[in-house]
Amino acid sequence: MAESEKQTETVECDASDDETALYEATVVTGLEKIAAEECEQKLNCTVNTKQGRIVFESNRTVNDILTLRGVDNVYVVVRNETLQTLPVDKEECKTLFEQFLEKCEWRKPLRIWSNVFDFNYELDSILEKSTQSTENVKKPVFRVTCNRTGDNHCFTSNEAAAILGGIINETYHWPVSMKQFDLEIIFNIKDKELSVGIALTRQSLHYRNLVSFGPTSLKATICHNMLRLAEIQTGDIVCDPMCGSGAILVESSISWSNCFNIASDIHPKAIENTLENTKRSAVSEVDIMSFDATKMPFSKESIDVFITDLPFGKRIGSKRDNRTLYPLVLKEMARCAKLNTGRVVLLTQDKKNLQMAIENHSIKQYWKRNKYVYVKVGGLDAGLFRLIRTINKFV
Amino acid sequence: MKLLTHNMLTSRCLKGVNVGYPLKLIAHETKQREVAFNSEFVQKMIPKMDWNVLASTAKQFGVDLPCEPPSNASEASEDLLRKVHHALLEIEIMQGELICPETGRKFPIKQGIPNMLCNEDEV
Repeated sequence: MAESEKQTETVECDASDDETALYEATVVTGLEKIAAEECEQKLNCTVNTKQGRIVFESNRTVNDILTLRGVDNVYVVVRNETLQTLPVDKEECKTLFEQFLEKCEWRKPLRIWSNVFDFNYELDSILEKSTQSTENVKKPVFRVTCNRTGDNHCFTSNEAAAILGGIINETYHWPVSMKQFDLEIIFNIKDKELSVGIALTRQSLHYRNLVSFGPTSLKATICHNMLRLAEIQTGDIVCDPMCGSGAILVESSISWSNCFNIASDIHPKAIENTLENTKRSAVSEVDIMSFDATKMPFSKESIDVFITDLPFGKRIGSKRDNRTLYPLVLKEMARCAKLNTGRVVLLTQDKKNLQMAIENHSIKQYWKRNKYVYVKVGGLDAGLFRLIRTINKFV
Repeated sequence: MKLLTHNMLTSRCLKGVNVGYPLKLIAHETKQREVAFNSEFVQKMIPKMDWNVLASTAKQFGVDLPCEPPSNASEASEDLLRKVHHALLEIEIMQGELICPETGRKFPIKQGIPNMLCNEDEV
């Protein structure tokens, strides 16, 4: 996913009353396109994808923007600029950042941010630069978080954050705290591209669903993007036969209230976790069961969508087990899935074994591989496979 | 477990069982739970269900459904759709058992969760 879209040199937010602003949201690497589609549909705007993030301009309220379910962190961009040359030492770096900050227009991003956190400070006074009479003015406590990528930088991300934080503190006299902050300023540096934004999320949005975790619980945002890939229709019966902590179907029943979900796992602890997680989210359209994914108790052609995070063979199971498990599961899914319309979305890092299972002579007549999406899960190179059931009857 | 799920369950994972359908449902404890009504969902669900099985299990819980499914689900009356909705989603079997019609093997339901795991010598 290269930076195919050349952004315009500088993008700025003006101070007018129009609430159009530039937003950036982080996405699990590989899922940017799916997250961008959600954003286009929900906010009706054009979305650019970059590695690990999506960028879009929107005039919708910030609450609308925070309804996105496939993104992790969201921030409003204050200023974005591509430099001609990189600084060679830290002195030069400071001058450069000072020049960059001088051109920043904070008013609108701060207003958007204050809508999220119910922050009723006087914007005029917190943007006051003079050193006098600051004692009795309430100012936001802030921190700077820097994410840096690229090789030829004379500073580390911590140093860049410290320099930028220092300049802001000197200019606006906002107090600094690394932990108890009101305002988190995000400073992204990618090669020569600098971008400053204000975080609109306190913690990643993927923490929303689960209270009870298994050893490999999937992020809710990954679950959401997987489910989008399944293209769920009204009245679909969706089954996760290896549900673990139930992460996928909890997300499904929250975001797709028009389908019915069946979650199962062979392990009693997984069932306990799923029960806790469905209770906590108070979702009603999920049934939990306990069965073996290689011997499912369903009548033939009864399930519309199978969706699961297969054992990778790292923390759970082994590659060797996968060699026998994957074909058995695919075969059983072929029996239970609706002909012609049945879909399967599978996540695994053991792509080789899954590929072999799909091509297995006794299985390949039942499934047509229809989409593959690379995705980075917990530092592992995993893949999402979408298969469509063929019209061949199961024998 | 809801009746929607029961409608699809078989015991064919057991050795020597060919059809294993429908499973006999014995409920020791049930719970009624209100679920938001979605008429399109119910319309789409009706053709997917085995109507005879649904009608007879629903009867066990005091819901009277007609013997024949509506021939065209999109033209079914809202009254009927609401009844089907209630039968499919709002009756929760908390404790009980599912019994294989061929072997008599019992699958327990506890805390609303049916345990359909078979022992190694049964498969």
